Amino acid sequence: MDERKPYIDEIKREFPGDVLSEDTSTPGEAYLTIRKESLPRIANFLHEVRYSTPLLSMFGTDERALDGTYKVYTVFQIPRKPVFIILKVHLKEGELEFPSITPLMYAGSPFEREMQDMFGFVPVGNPDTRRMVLHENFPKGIHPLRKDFSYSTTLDKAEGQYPFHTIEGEGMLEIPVGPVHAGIIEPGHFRFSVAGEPIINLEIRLHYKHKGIEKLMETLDFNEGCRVAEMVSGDSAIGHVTAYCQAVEKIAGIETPLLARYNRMIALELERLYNHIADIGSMSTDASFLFGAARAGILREKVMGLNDRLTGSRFLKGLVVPGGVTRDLFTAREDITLTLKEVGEGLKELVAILLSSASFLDRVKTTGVLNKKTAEDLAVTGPPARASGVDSDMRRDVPYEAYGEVKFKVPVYKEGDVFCRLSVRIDEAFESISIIEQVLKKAVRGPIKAEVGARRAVPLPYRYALGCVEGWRGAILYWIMTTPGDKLYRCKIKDPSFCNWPGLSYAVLGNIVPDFPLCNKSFNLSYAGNDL
Amino acid sequence: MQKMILSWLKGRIATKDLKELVSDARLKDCLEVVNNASIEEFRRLSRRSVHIREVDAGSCNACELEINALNNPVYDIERFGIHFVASPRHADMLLVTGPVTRNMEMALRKTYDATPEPRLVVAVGGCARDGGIFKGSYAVVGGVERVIPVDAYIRGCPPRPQELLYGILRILGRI
Repeated sequence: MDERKPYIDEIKREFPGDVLSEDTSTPGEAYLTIRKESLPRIANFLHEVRYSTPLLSMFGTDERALDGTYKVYTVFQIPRKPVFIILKVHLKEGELEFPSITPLMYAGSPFEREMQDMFGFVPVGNPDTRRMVLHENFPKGIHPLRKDFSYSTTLDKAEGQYPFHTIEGEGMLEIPVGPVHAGIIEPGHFRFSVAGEPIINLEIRLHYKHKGIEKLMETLDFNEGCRVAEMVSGDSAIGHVTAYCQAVEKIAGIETPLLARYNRMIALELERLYNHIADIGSMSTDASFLFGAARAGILREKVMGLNDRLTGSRFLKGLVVPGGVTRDLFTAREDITLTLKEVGEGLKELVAILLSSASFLDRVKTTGVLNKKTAEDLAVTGPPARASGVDSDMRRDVPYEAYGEVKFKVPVYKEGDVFCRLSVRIDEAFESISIIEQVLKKAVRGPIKAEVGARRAVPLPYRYALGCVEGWRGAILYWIMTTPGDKLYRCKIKDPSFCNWPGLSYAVLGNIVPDFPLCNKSFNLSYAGNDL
Repeated sequence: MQKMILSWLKGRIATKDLKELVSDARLKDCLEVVNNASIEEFRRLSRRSVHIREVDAGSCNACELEINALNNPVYDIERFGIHFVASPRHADMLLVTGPVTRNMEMALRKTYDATPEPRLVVAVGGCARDGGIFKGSYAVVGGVERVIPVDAYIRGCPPRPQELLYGILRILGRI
């Protein structure tokens, strides 16, 4: 039986007359076109009342070329099921208002503000109507993702001031930090309001790195797009490109060979491994335990060196392409096994040292607590969610590639502090090594890439699909719509950081300013992936 | 000396075919000097210790990871008296990555203005050269030179830590 059916039926039963049409042509995805007014109610039913499904993404499209309307897509996933429910709302030209879901689910706010900037939609009822993506230097009335705006438009310079929230009261002090930070990291602005040492409010302003990636995608065809997907967030190159390829492959009906799937799994886990090791190291740095950082640095370099030997890129770039992979990592089976054995042993030692240091544990335990309810409300994903008791992992819930064939644990902790986020990363690093070992034991022969790109006699109509990968930061989501000529018509990228940034601003509340770097590193979010 | 450092750069990580990856030719190819006069002047004044401020003006963050790696015990840039500092006011050199986005243009200019002279600007990575794949975007100004004067480029997407180290040491006249 189709797994989607019971959910569609229930929504139709609960909201008679609100569902205008349904589209189940893409496997695993149920698109429900609903009446505009019913969006908050149905979204809340899915999110809060019935299934407590996390909001995965929310985005606009300009489909005036197809049927004369703009659309708002709201993507939910049924927890622990490979079922995506996508609510679709039509907006007519000149009537770009739609009821905001933010009053009922706060996770919607950044998505709605993004649409407000990029499409000029008006989320009625969202209390935060400030600009987000386009800073003050962009002239007013510019909406880059509309089809009548060209990627290479030269814009005038405008000026203005961003209205930060201000916290007032006796003894309140504001500490502005950034966009250029003290460390070797990406740009963003943090504004702390403190009363003495404790943080009363943290406002995070991002999008300093907005480069117009989604618009760039619309100028490319689907083979070219994968090179750009690798450059969305350099440290998640494989996660992003795999999610991208999955969406494209669903659209084009390409069956990826088994050997290619195994190869992708190896690459995904190598990426998780080197990043988790780096995070374990940087959490040690920020707790002033430099020995741990040095050891982690050496271990990470071993994995980076392995990546370089395997693919010629320390970030594994160029490996994953639509249809499969460009080279077979199984030919370096011995190298991978030996290196990972070494790394695993080193990591075990490092973890034992870290966890037996009382001063280190004192810094990380009970610091930066994100409680489960807040994590769910903000749709936080990945290690920070699992550290707060949210049991979700796309590798298990939507077993893509060949994750259904390997055994692995999904670590879930309850307290939601820095220590739990560290523990999730430690556990996952060891699980990654185990997954790669399991995959390498599989004996497969065959092609590593399916045939792609042959021009069809009859072009496909506009088609769309989701690609979803559990990157090392959390769920990476791509929603792609292609034109009949295999061009990308719309490519919505959702990096896990987009929903996790608000999580950080809640986790730091009540903590002292010197613990902020530690909290920040325990989330380790991407600015580039957020800003696009 | 140059031979010694080159062989050290190559031998530092025990990899099987590192020789191939970081060949002499590739290393030499990774650096492009555009302002020789300012570099000569800089060398004369900063013989022993150099402080670097890194500025990300819009990269994908891969360049940052590789620059960060210079501080780990494998590459250990500090042994050459080179430190990364927290403020441009303490810096002798700016290491700038990424295509400069519109939203970062002013921050980059202010950072440059806050850096005391003599100072060098080294642009790192393909995007910093001319905007890379983001060239021409409505949200991107272009390469670093569109905003502040650049003295040298280190090429790569991203350049490997070995290449960054080699480039910086070459600029300083150490090799």
